Amino acid sequence: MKDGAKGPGPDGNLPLEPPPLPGTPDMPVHPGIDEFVDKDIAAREAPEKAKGEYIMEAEGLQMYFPVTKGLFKRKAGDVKAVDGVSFRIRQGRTLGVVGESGSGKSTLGNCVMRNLRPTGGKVVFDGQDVTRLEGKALAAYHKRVTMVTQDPFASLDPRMTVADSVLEGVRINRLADKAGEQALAERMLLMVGLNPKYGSRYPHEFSGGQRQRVSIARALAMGPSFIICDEVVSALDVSVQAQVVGLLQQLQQQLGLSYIFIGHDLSVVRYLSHEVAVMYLGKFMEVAGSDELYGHPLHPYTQALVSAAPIPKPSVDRARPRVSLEGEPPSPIHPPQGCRFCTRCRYAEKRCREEEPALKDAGGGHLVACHKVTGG
Amino acid sequence: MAVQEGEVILDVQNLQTWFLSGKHQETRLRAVDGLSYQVHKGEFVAVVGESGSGKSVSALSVMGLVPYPPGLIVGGKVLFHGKDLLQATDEEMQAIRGEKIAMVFQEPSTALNPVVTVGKQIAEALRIHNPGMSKKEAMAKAAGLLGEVGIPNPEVRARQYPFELSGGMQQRAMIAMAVSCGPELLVADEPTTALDVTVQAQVLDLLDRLRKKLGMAVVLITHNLGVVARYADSVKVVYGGKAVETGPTDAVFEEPCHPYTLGLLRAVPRLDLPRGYGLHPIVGEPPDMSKVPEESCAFAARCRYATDGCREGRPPMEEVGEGHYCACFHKGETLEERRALP
Repeated sequence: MKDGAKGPGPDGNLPLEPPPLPGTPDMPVHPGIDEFVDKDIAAREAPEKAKGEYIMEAEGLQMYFPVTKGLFKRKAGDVKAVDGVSFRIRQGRTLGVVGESGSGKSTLGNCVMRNLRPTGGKVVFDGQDVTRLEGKALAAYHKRVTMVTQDPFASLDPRMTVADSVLEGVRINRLADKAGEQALAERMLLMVGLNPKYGSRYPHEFSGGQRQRVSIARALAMGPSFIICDEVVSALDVSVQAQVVGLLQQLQQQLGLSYIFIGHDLSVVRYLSHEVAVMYLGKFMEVAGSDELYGHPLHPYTQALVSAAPIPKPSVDRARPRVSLEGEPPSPIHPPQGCRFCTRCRYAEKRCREEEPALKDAGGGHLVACHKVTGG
Repeated sequence: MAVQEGEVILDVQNLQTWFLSGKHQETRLRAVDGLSYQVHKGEFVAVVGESGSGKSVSALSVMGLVPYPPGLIVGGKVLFHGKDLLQATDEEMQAIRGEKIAMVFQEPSTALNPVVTVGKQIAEALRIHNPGMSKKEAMAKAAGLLGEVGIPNPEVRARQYPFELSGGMQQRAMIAMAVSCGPELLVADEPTTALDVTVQAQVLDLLDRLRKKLGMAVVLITHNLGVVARYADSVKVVYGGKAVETGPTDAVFEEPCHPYTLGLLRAVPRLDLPRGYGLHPIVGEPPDMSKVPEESCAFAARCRYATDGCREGRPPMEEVGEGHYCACFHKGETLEERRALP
C-alpha cells in the first residue's frame, strides 16, 4: 500500500504505525478506490437508480412500546417512541436526524432498519413496502440496507477476527465463495482506510476510531445502497471523529450511498446531511435543507438547540443570540397535550396547549410544526 | 479577556503521574508527563485534550485520588496556596478535599450512591466538614442547595434516590454537593459529556453563575472546544500528558500556534460556516504514552511540521504573546495554517 512506503507523504506527513490512511482531505484519499467500486460493489448492487429518485420513504411511521403494570401485565399505556414520522430520502443523499436523548431518533433508525416492527405507518424502500417483511424477504432487505451503531466496543464480537466480522453477513447470504471472501475482506478494509493485513487481528487490538472503520467495512461488505448511521462518531475523539466523518462522506460520493445519519451533535449532523430533521418526543418538529435549517431555524426548539451548541471561536460565539431552554424533555409516556414542546417553549400560548400543530411548509420546502410560524 | 491578575491559588509544577504495569513494573505509562499550570482566584480555567491525554489523571493527581498501585505520582509539585499537596498527609488532604477543593465527576449516575437519598448524600458531606451541624440542619441546608442549583421542588427531591432524577438533575445535585462547603476551587471533570446539548448549556451556565457568586475558581476538564470558547478565561491544551499551548481563551482561539491546537480547531465542524466548509482531521490516533520516547514531542508522530529535532528533544514552553505560551519547535511555521482558519 502506498502509505506503507518510507519517507514523508505528499503533504509532508510521515508514515505512522499503524500507517495513516486515507479518508482525510489532508491525506491522499483512497488510492484506487474507483477500481474497487467498478468491480465489486457496483456489480453486486441492484440495478443502478437514477440519482434523485426517492430510495427510502416513510409515511406516518409509529413505534409504540407497551408499558405493562401488575401481575397480569395489564397494558397501562404506551411509550410513543416514534409517533407519526414521514420522510423521503433521495438516492445518494443524507437525511440527518438530531434530537436529545429520548427523542426517539434511534428507535426511528431501528424501525427503518426493520430491527423493530413498526406498530403503524409504513416504510417503502426502492418501491417496495418493507414494513411487514419477514424471513427471507427481510434478509434480502438487510443486504441492501445496513446499519452502523454508536459503540464500536460493543458492536464487534471480541472473539471474532476483524475479517470474520466483516464477512459475517456475506457468509450468511453466501455472496462469495471461499476464495473470494479473503479478497473481499481485504478490499473492504482497504476501502475504509485500514491496512488489509489487519483482517486476522481481533477488535481489542484496535482503537475506537479503527473499530468504527471496521464496523463501516462490515456494513459495506454486502454492497448496500443505504446505510443507517446511529451516532457513529459520538464515542470518538474530535480528531478521529473528523476522519470517520470524512470517510462516510467519501464513500457516499464514490458509491452513491444514501444515509440516515442520526446524532445529537448538531454540527456533525449538519456537516454530513443534505436535509436535517429535528426530532422531539417522537415527532419531527422541523425539517429543512441543512444550511437553511441552521441559517434560519424557525421552530423555537431548533433555535434553542442551535444556540446551545457553542462555536469554538470566542468572538463569533459571543456575538450569537442565546436562546436558553429551561427544564428537560417530558416523559414520552405522557407527552404534553397539544404541541409537545409547549411545556418548555417561551412562546407557548393557549392554542399550543390545546391543538397539536401539523408539520407544514413554511416556504421553499422548509417544514415546521409550530402554530406561531405557520399560523393558520 | 485580559491576562489574569490576582492571587495564584493552585500552582501545578511539572507534575508527572505514571501507571506502572508488567511483571517487573517495567511498562511505564506516562499519563501525566510534566504538566504545569496555574489557576488564579475566581478564574475559569479549561483543560482541553482528547482521551488519553492525561487531563483526567492530572485532576485526580491534584485531588490526591490517583489509585496506587498502579498509579504513582513520580514528580512535580501541586502547590495550593503555597502548600505542596503531594506532601500532605491523608488527614490534611481529607480536610482540604471537599472543603477547599471540590470535584465534580463525569458520570453523575456512577458518582452518586444509588441506595442513599440525594439529600442525605449532600448532608453527609456537610456534616463531615462541619462537625457541629445537626442532621436536621444539614438536611435543610441540603434542600436549600438543591434549590440553589435550580432543581424544582428541592424538599421533595432531597428525599428521592438518584435513579429518580434525570441525568441533568443528578449532575446538578453533584454540583450542589461540591459547592456545599464553599470551596475555593472546583475541579469539574467532563461534567456535561453524558448530557444533551440543551442540558449541557444549563449545567455550564449554572457552574459559571456559582463561580461568580461564590468567588471560586473552576478548572473544567473537557474535550469540547466550543464549551471552552464560551466559558473559559484561560485554556490549557494538553497532549501526551503535558500542556502544549496555554493562554487567555481569546489568544489561544484567535491566534493558535501549536500544530495540535490548530489541528483540533480545523477538525471540528462549525455551525456558523457554510456546510461545504472542509473538515481537516488530524491523521493517526492519540499516542500510547508508554511507547513515546521521553525526550521527544509527543505530537511529532501526527504532526505535519515534525522534523528529526522533534523526535529527539522536547520543545520548551515559550511565550508567544501576553500570557500565551506554546511548546513547539516549529511554531513560527504554523502562521500560514492559522491564517487559513475561518
